[in-house]
Amino acid sequence: MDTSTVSLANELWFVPFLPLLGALLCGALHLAVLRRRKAGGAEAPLQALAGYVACGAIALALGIVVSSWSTLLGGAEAIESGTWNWIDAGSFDIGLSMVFDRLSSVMCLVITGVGLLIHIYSLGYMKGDPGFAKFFAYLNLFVFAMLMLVLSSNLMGLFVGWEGVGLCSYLLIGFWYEKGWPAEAGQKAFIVNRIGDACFLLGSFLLIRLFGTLDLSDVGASVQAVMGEHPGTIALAALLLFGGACGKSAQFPLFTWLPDAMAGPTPVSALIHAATMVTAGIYLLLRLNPLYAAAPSVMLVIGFVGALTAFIGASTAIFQRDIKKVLAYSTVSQLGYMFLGLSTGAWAAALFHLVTHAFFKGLLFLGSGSVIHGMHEEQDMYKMGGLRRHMPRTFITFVAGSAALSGLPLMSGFFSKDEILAMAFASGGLHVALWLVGLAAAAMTAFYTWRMVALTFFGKERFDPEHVHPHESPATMTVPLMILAVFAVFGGVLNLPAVLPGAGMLHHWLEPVTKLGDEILHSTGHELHHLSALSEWCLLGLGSLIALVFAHKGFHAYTSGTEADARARAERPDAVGFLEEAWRIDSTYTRRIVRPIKLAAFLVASVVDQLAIDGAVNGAGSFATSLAQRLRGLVDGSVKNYALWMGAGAAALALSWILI
Amino acid sequence: MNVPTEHLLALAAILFSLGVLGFLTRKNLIIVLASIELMLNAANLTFVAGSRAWAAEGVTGGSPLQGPIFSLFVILVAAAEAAVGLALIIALYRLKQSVALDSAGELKG
Amino acid sequence: MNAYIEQMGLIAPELVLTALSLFVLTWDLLKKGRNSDHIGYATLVGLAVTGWLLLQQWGMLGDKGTQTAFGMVTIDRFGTFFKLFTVGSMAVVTLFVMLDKNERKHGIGEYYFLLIGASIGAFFMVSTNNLLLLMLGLELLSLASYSLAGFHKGSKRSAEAALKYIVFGGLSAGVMLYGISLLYGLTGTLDLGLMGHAPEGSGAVSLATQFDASPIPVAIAVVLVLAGFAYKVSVVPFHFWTPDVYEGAPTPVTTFLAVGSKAAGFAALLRFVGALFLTDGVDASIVAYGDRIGFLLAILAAITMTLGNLSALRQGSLKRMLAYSSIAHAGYVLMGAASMTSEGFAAAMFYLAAYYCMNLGAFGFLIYFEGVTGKDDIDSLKGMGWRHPVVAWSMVVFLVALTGLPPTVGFYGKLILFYAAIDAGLAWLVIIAAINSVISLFYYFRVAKSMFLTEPVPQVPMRQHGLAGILCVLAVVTVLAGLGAFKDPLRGWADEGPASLEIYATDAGSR
Repeated sequence: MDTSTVSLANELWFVPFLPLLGALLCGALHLAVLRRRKAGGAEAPLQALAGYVACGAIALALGIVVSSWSTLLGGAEAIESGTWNWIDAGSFDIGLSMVFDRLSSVMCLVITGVGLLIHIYSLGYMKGDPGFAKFFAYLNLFVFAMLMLVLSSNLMGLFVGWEGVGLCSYLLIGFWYEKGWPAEAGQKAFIVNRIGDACFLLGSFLLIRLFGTLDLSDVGASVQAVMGEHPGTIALAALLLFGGACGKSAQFPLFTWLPDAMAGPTPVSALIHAATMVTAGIYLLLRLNPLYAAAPSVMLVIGFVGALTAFIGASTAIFQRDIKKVLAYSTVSQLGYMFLGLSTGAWAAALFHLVTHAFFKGLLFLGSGSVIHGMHEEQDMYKMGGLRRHMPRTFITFVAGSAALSGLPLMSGFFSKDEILAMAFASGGLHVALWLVGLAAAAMTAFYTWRMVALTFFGKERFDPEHVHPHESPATMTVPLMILAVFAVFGGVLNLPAVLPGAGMLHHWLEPVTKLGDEILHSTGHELHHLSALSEWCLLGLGSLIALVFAHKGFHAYTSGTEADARARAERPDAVGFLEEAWRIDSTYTRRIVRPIKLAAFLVASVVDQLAIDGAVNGAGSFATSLAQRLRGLVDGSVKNYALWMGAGAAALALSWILI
Repeated sequence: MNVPTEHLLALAAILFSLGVLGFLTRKNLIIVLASIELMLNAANLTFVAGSRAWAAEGVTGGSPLQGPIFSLFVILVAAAEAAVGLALIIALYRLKQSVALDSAGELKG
Repeated sequence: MNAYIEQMGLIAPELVLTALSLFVLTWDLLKKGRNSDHIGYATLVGLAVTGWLLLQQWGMLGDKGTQTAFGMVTIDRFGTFFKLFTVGSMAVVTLFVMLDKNERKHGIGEYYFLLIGASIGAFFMVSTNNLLLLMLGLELLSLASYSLAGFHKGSKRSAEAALKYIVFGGLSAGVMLYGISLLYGLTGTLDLGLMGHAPEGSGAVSLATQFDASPIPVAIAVVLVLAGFAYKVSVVPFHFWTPDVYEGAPTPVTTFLAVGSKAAGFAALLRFVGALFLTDGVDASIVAYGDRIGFLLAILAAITMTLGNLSALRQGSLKRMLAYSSIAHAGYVLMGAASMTSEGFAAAMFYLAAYYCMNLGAFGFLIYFEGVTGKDDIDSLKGMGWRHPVVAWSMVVFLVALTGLPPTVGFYGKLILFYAAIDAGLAWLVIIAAINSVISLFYYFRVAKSMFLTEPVPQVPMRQHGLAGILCVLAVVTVLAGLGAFKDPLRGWADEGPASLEIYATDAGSR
């Protein structure tokens, strides 16, 4: 990186560490709450204080992010904090700094901006929960880890954040662990992610072998020098790191944890499982764009995985009854789009979709949370209907989010999704097939989105009016919804298509980061092709047409109620069942992988472990303790014996020195 | 009378061994302390003998008086150690009515 | 004569300490043993002045040491490093004495006098290249320690501890002095610099030359001296006195023995080994000879850490367990010396700095715990974690550090030691040390377990806020230093220490 365009700013350390401080304070407040609860005192003021502390910490971090961002707007390419040299022991050292460049600035704005809104929303959503302070402690800890992830100057620090967000995700999915299944869902997420993390670690070791460093900018800068010599190793490292990204970003075949993760409180689903954590994989690939540019075969794999995931996710969302499950599969599908975009080398397009997705999917999750809150914890859309009269603010904002998700013309999601599809189309070759898959997924997206809107807010009221009294949520929840709705609708201006005035802002913004990747793509003949204005217009038109038609279909079929589903189930029970269970991938895993492993584990545990391993370990343990007992006998308190041992020791020393 | 250096060194070694043997075999604490004095005197003798031998060869690293001076300090150290040692023996005698080394065997393990 | 007096400025810290000791003794006599709090405060002020003088001195010292008092005293960064830590640990021990409920019953000012006397001994012991002054400093430190160990006059355990200490101390002093006399006889000098490398016309013969001529006497002499040092720093098999004395002595004294006295012993050991054997590549025969002693030290290190850790496994008394743990740690420090490189020496120095911090904390916890329960067995720890959370969590930090886990200074120190040992080709020793760290995990976490995982035993909480505060500060320092804070002073100082040693050693002859 050109040093003249990098300015030093140690205040960047505060960006992650303010949320950490907030987490510690909230944790302490939670302990105080527990103590006061035992004593029978009033705990509400302490709980409220924890909420304000958490929001304040994020707001301060956002403030620093915005001020640093304004420095970047002034023309700097990056701001870097001083380096913290944790360890230097001879030939080995670990140094870490916070780098705020064009890419991490966008990520930080999303994390702290959307994060702040979700924190405020949680003030209302979690009100009265006995673990209120603990919830905010975890949430702040998550923001800390996520900011570490995007700001770290090297892969080691990134990995610390990567594991940190995984841990927080586990804690927050299982937040209501008393219910049983959230705890299991948390474990599933954790275990599936371990598979990805193992790949991540292997990939990083390869990077160390290749480049001798884990510093991200150094790795990027030296790719060009190494790619000629070790194309295979580079491809393997890129593939392994992508494996890690598959776990975190819920891509085929590791996406099965994300729908289960909906067991957590809804703000968690919005923040972690839609807006931020699941995009860590995209961030990783963007950050290492020169590496991926140098591995075209891996890029193609990424494209296939992305398109397949987009398709599986979208088709599964169609027949879901649980409103959060629809959104979860939709998230899986949208993440697939982002990877599809990356695979064509359209870095900015992927980031663009990441940002707009954070807006509209965060909004939709929060909106669904508001619905669930108003319906007394009901998530089944078959038991909703006609809610627009009861919760108008939630309804309007939810429609705005749905419009963006389904890609209705001029909404943010329309531009970002269209750009990815256009790039896939322009890349030609195999990517055209992927483009078709993406287009089909887009059609299904429009369908399930408006099915969801219709089932929830339109039609007859299918709940029991005796017991359920839907009500609008408090302002702490609806105001964040409104703010996000504005972004979801107008977010498209960030990166308009080339045929419109003011086009490609994000693209130009990101250029310094993707410069190396673009150069490599150019030198290997994989650079992005530009579409003619005519074909661009045609693609925009096609996208609008598909979105409008299928949105209409979905909406129309379900305004009257759930009969359409019943009919489909009656006609094609197998197909619907197949789609409902996400192509039965999860049950296949259970049957083909989990059960055999469990059986093998049982065998190993009962035979090998009990006899061999336990025997060895216990043997070593009892050997050590019996040795310890003997040694105690040696120190028998008698001065004579001590002196004899000393004499013998000295004689042995002298002898061995002479004899050696 | 000119005693060869070898003889002096051998005498010192014998003294030292006697000290070690006394330390290992005697039970009375006062005699144990006396054995330590013997070891210190072996050191003294070696210092003086060494000093004389180097001076005779005309080689005097630093100062020829180093050896004898060290002996003087060793005598001083011995006196201080005896003072503290006897005080502690008296303290033990007050508590256990014994000056046998074996009476100190409570702490072990 | 004037030049001589000017040079006295170099030993100003020692002079201040001496004056302080006389002042404390006189004041206590005048007060006839009544309330001794003021004497404690005076001691703290004196130690602060000494510490300030040492810091001033550090700033003025160059890479090379200077000598004063006819070459008897050597002031260099290596010695000043240890002196600074001696003063720091002495201040903490003084605070422990002042705050310890048990000690207050015996609260008389001689305690402070003896502690100051011991530190004067330690000061001279670490800042000389001459075996005479080294021996005198060691004896002063030892004599004060014997009296301190027997300070509880009415206690059988205290009396037994003191007696065992002086008997073994006397034995090892006799052995060491005999070794020194042999070394003098072999080389004709008491100066370690000349002994290691004697140039033509200096009037001495270097030890390496003598080794080539007559290896057996040299080996016996060096081993006898090393045995004396090994006794002081409790290296197996010269460690037998350690658990008994540590257990019987009053706990603040144990703290001093385990921290201040042991570190001073290591300083002298490092200086001795460094001067005689750390003469990088001067002469092929010397290098071979240094490697040989390094290998010997490596074996001693392996035996020491293994035996120390294994013996600690089954201890019921926390105090005795910490005694064995300190033996194991002596083994780790010895790894640095065994590396026979200045990198290894710097690692040993850094680890000793870490050792000061975590052991002061662990023994401080023991004092607190004894003050609350009147016992020192691990079973009585039950429920400490719930009744005294701040102190218990501080202890957890010290235990983590002693085990050598991140993010504490114990981890950092061990990492540097391991790297130094690997660079020196002692990979097998590193493996043994790593296994030992795992073993130590068991007994350290037994303490944490009984503090937190066991149901509390009803007891009257007696809070000792002063001690809790000190422990908290130490715990924070342990973690911060582990995260790389204070690295500039600590690593820098530790790295510069051996440099001053080495340059002096190779330079001694040209003087």
